[in-house]
Amino acid sequence: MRWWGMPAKIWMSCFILLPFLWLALLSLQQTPAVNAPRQVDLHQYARALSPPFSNIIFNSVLTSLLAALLVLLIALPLTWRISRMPQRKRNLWLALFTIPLGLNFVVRVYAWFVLFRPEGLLTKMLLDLGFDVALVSSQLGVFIGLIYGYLPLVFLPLYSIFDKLNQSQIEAAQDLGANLLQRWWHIILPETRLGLMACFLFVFVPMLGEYLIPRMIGGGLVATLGTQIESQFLGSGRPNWPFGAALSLCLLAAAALVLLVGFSLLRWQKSERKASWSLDL
Amino acid sequence: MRNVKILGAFVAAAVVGGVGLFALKNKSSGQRTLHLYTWTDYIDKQVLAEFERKHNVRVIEETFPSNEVMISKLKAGGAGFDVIVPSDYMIATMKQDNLLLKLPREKIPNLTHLSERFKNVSYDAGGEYVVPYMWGTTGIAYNSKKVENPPKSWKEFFETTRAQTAEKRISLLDDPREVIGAALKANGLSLNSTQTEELSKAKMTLLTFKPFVSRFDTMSYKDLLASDDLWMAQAYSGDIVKMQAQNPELRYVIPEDGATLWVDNLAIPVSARNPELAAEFINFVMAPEINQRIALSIHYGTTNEKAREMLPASELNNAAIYPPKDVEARLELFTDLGNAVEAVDNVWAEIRASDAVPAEPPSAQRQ
Amino acid sequence: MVTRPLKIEKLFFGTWSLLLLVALYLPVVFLVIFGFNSGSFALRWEGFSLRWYASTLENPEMISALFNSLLVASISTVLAVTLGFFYALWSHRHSQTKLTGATDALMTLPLFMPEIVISIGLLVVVAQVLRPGAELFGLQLDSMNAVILGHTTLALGYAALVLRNRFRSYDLQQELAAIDLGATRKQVFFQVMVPQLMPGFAAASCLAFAVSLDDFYVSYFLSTGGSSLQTLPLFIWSLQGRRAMTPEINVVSSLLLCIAMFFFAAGLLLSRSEPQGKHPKRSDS
Repeated sequence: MRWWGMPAKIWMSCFILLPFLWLALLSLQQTPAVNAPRQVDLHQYARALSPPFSNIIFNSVLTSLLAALLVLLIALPLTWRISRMPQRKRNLWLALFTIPLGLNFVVRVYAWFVLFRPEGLLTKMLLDLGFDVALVSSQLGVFIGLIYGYLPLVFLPLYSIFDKLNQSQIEAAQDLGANLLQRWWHIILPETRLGLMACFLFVFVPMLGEYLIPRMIGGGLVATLGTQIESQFLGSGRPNWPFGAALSLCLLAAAALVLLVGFSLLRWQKSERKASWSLDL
Repeated sequence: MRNVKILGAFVAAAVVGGVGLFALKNKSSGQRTLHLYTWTDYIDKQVLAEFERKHNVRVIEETFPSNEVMISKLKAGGAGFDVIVPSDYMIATMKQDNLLLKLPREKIPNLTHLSERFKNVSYDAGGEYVVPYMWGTTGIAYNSKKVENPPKSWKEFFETTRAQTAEKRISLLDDPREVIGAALKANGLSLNSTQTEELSKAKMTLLTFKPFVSRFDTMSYKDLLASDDLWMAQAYSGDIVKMQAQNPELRYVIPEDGATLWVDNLAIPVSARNPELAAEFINFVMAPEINQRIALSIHYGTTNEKAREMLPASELNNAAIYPPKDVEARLELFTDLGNAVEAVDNVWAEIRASDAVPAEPPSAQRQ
Repeated sequence: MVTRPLKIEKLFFGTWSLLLLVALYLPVVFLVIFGFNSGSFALRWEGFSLRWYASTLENPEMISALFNSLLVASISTVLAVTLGFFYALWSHRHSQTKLTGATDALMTLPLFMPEIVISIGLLVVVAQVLRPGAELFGLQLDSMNAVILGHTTLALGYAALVLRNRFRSYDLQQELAAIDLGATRKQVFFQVMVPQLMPGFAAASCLAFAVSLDDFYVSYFLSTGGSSLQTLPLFIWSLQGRRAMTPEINVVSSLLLCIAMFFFAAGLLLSRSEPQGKHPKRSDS
């Protein structure tokens, strides 16, 4: 029994930790050439952290932060309402919002693109209504695409959070005359903050490395961390693995930074370290 | 609890079924398999089916959108592809890196059908490693309904015509050599320039042009041209001829200031699992009748003299596919740039990564 | 438990959910409708027909991609759920020790690491370590194995999480009672533990299967090894480049929707099929 956890731990070490270490090692290599003398330095990082790449990193982080926040804000009122419905209705509503997840991610992005391409149905409708906005091949398009692509992912975990919330406290507060805002600010948010943070990270991190959306909706025109990393490995330019590895580590660092700042803002306590487990899928 | 059991049973059935299928697949794998790695949409599917039937083999076709992607995959992967289709300028590097097998010429009797000019190509003297397969050009495609004064040259494409399409309706290929090559041509320079000064001129052209670009795309640009989403594009000749069936308004021009001529070649990588079958396949597609069918289906120029003679006049007279002699004189082949390719790569990375357009060219270039 | 919502709250909820549903479903609906297009170009509607369903179902490439996807998903599901199950058991038993915090974090890493980084990490390790290593022993690590490896890693993260969460509602008393009554270890395992954990087991399987079926990145980067592997999402991605994108892309997508929806709904149902109030409140402190 004592060793039952071993296989899984070894597996994860081999295929998550080892790749990570290997990438770290690779990123210290000076040139992409395989047979060049192996000089070790921080050249790749210097390149990654200077323009234009530093701007791309900054933009990607900012866009993903905003998009992830919006995703949560959009889904929050709904899941809250659903969690307070009678049991029977709940499942129906939840299913309704999660069914789009059944569609493959590639397909969902493609479907979105088809409607919003310059000759797409919705673009034309928007134009008729007087909105002349480019929702493809633009930063805005990628932003909205990110929200659309990741929104269906948060309904379930958010719902679980609210589902487990202790209702009596809220009811007590309501009885004592606390209004909606007060109830949220003093009771609901503090109670659920870890779960919310986990949900946020659950969408923020993949958004940060997103490649498909900027590629298809952005037309390869909007440079993001994801597209830059991809192009170092399988892109149209010459492969440059060390630089790609350095960019990936920058991505991880950015994600870790956001995580640390986020949790410290929430006054994260050591005893609550298991925050990641509060994500219930 | 009941539905739990039912679902559990279903999952179990799916898993068992999957594993069973796997076993079945392995059992039937006595059949030889040919892994073909080629450009997107570059062979007649019926020809592949015929090869499968005649030689009792299975053909697995995998496609790539650019030479660079092909090389990356070839280097990242182990053994596997039996026939690959690299372009002219890639061959020298591939030979250098020992990626290509010498052709077993005696097993490919149909090589005799090659036209004279392709029997001894500059990038592979004596035809030791590759068989020229199809050729074509990279030029400008536009929608004649949407673009009033279509560009006649790369210079016009980059500098004047863009004003007509104030909306972003232009795409460039997702291919460093092609895009930078076109910009070099617009500046009256060679496709193969590696001089820093000339490259930075091309870079400026592209950076000022970038706000008008809607996509860097080699895969779906032709569909978007046909659906009127794009009005103008840097395009491969055959793609446009093909798409004219969907949208008759599409036109293809070979720019006056020059364009890329490219020749794609059949080759056997060193890592091929099945080199004999690969030779059989190459021989098969070089048979005049088969080759003619492929050329007619993909609308590129064939390198096969006999096959060309069998083509209908409508195909041969299409200037987009077989340009007249005077136009052909303007075409240029890419050459292998050796280590200087890094300079081109850097320009490409900068163009792809740049968001802002520099207000004015750096002062160093003005002097 | 159910509080009476205010009128304005109801109105807000109504409009909000309506808007969202339209936004979420509109692209999907159009996608499915265009699968019934009679024209040969995916982006232009010409009339109703089933011809693309017929032709897609006969397309050998699509069949083999579907086959590959199902195969990879099956194998990685079995692997991931088995590994995850034993991990969850272990973690549950040792939840008091300090170490589990760290290993729990390790197990959930795939959920909180960008897929693109996982993929290229695996690509690099497969290309530079595993593949040359396997060749030393005369073995071939082809792309199928590499992709299975990657999908298992992803799915393991999800499976471990779901199973681990399910274990919190595990009733240890039953097990202790069984031991008191003289049950052997084998009996305890098969007659007490497994039945109790079956719902979590099934939920984890469905989720793992769906994760594998949905995955694009890992397959995209790891299918590069020689005899490359076309999974269904990769096939759909490559359809874009074909001569005039045909409505096949819509048909394949619709079919995929059906498959994935089944597994997803199953997983959903199972992870919540437990009677309410039975699981003890989670203690965060």
